[in-house]
Amino acid sequence: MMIRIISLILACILLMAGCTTKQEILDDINLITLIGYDHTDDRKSQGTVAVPQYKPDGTVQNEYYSAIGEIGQDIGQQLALQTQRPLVNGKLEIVLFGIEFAEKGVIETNDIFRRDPSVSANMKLAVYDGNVHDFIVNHRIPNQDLGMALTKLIEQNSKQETFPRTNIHLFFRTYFTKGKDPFLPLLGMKDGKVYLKGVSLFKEGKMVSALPASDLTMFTLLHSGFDSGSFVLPVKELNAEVSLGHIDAEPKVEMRGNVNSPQITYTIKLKGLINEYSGDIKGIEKKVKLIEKSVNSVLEKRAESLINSLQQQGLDPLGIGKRANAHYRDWDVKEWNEQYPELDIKVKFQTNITESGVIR
Amino acid sequence: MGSNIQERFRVSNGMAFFLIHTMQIGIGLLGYERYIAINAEYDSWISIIITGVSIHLILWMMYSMLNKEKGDLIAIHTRAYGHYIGKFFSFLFAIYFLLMGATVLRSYLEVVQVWMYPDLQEPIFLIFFAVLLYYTISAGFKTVTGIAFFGVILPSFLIFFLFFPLQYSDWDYLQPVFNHSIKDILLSSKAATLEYIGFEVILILYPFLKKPEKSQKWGQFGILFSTFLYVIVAIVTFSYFSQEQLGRTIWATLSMFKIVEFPFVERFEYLAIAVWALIIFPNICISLWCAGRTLKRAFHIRQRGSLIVMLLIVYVLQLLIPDRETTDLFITTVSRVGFYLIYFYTPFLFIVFHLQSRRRSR
Repeated sequence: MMIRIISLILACILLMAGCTTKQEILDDINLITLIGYDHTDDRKSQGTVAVPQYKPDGTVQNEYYSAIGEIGQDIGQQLALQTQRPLVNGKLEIVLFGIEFAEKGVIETNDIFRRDPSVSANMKLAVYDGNVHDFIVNHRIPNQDLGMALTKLIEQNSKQETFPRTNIHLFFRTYFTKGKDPFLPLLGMKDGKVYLKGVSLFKEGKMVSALPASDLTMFTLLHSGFDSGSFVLPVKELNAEVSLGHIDAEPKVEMRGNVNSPQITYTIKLKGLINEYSGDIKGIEKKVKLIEKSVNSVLEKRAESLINSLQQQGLDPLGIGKRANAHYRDWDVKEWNEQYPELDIKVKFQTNITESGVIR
Repeated sequence: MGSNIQERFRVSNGMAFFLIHTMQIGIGLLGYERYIAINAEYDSWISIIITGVSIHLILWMMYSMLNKEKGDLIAIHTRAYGHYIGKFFSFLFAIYFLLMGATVLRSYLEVVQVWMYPDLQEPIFLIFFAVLLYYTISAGFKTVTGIAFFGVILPSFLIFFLFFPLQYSDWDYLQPVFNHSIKDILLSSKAATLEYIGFEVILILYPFLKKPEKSQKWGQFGILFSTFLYVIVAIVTFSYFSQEQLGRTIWATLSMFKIVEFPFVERFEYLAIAVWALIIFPNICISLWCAGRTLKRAFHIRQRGSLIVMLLIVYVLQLLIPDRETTDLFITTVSRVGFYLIYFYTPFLFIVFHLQSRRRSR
């Protein structure tokens, strides 16, 4: 009896599919994996989509459609005029914004994807430094789905801990958080290859500035810490360079004083090992203390200058305000925003090199 | 009175756990976070615990009446108010149970329409569902209990999928703890009671347990487990969404499943919605069975006959509700009635009943 009823319930769910008029068969639809938006003139924007075509011989080809319109629906309808099969959002991997479009604001456009139940919460958003339409149409990657390739590029960097984890959910979570500003990966072109160019910083949903690639690792460390990150740093005292690997670090933000004059200290305990050392490797065990000290001061300087430049721009992608909100009971976002650029934020590194010169 | 149910129709005491728990966990679990966080914001997980404790107390009151009467709600009503007024109140309960079943089905259909099939043809789908309901409920209480059992066990694997949103958790959002006034926390507690209603069915199905006097601990366990589930899901949700973001998310639990990704299942929330049918199905079955049972006990109406009429009412009600606003109004009204039933009517009945039975024993 019971088995029968349960299988009936499941059968009922399956039958529900029959109650809907529109059925979509994989071969009869175009699955979009990439959408790009460009700013054209004052009111209009251009949407470009990439659709991978899986050929019978196992190869993949990207097809492109492009249209200009005022709102997303407008673009969507014009795109439909060009395609033989309906365009579907279900497999959308990434949405790219041209840098000009991002500067005009991305929230309205993103909101459509946020509310679309067929779009994954793990969909990536990114800014492209240039014109997305030209990029999509001209960028030739053989035998690969373009949307998937870009997503993998970003995910790979998150895994390598050169960029914090990012997706549409996290973007909106930050956008709706008091005391934190959203950021997105910034992609660019070099020698015909697409690469992670830096971090694009947003204020109120509009891109206002960017961090260069050289700040990526430090930004990631301050934002979300390392499980197994790496750094290449100069050791001035020994006139050499050292590469640290397998770094485990957790940034801790300490707040002292009351809410009107907080003293903020980042304490980062960094545990790692020496992967490579350009100087004299002999007797490196004795130099470890010196290297640790040198690494501390270099990292502190880098971190403080990064935080200072963010403060001067009034941007808080690291979420220091959010941390203060969690710390102080009477935290107020308005007062915070006023005092944030003037705050004295110190960074302390405590590097601990656990291994050196061990052959692995 | 009412306790002369044949042994072969009864179910074991442990089933009280499943019957009560499954009635509390339903469609509400998909999106309760937003409602309870309106006042106490991210402190509202405390509110859930407060509500849970109060529900334990109400269940104790119910059991105290049931144990004394050794019967069901209809017997208690007769004892408290006399023959005619008692029947009138029992009738109101029957309507309440019927509407409860209808709201659950309505809210589930809404989720299906928004997430899976925007152009679902309701009339046809509902016929399938109504037939299934008739088939199950007409088989009797034992079958309904079995469905309640599986309605808890089978979907329970879903709890492991909270692991996926947990990877994105940010505990800053939950701090500082206790940053809201007692008033706000209690207002959120009030909102949380809506997630607990449904356990009133114990008033009707009590005589169907093997040794009903000894079943209270199972019922209380059922409520405890509901509280546990609500608190855990709320905490994971609060660490996953920022406050304002949650305010714009209608089905937060379901939205959390959007982050789950497998190589072979691109969109896990569709699976979750399908599995949710198993969660709400026993809900509707027990509600409608209780409505029918109440009518039978009070007015000697055959349960099968009343079931067909009730299914028709549910069917028509579903089709009469045109849009989201009306759906929301319908759901809030029924749950508000539930709130007053639990916190005002039950203690009132508790006092009247005990006064009356004391007077009679003298």
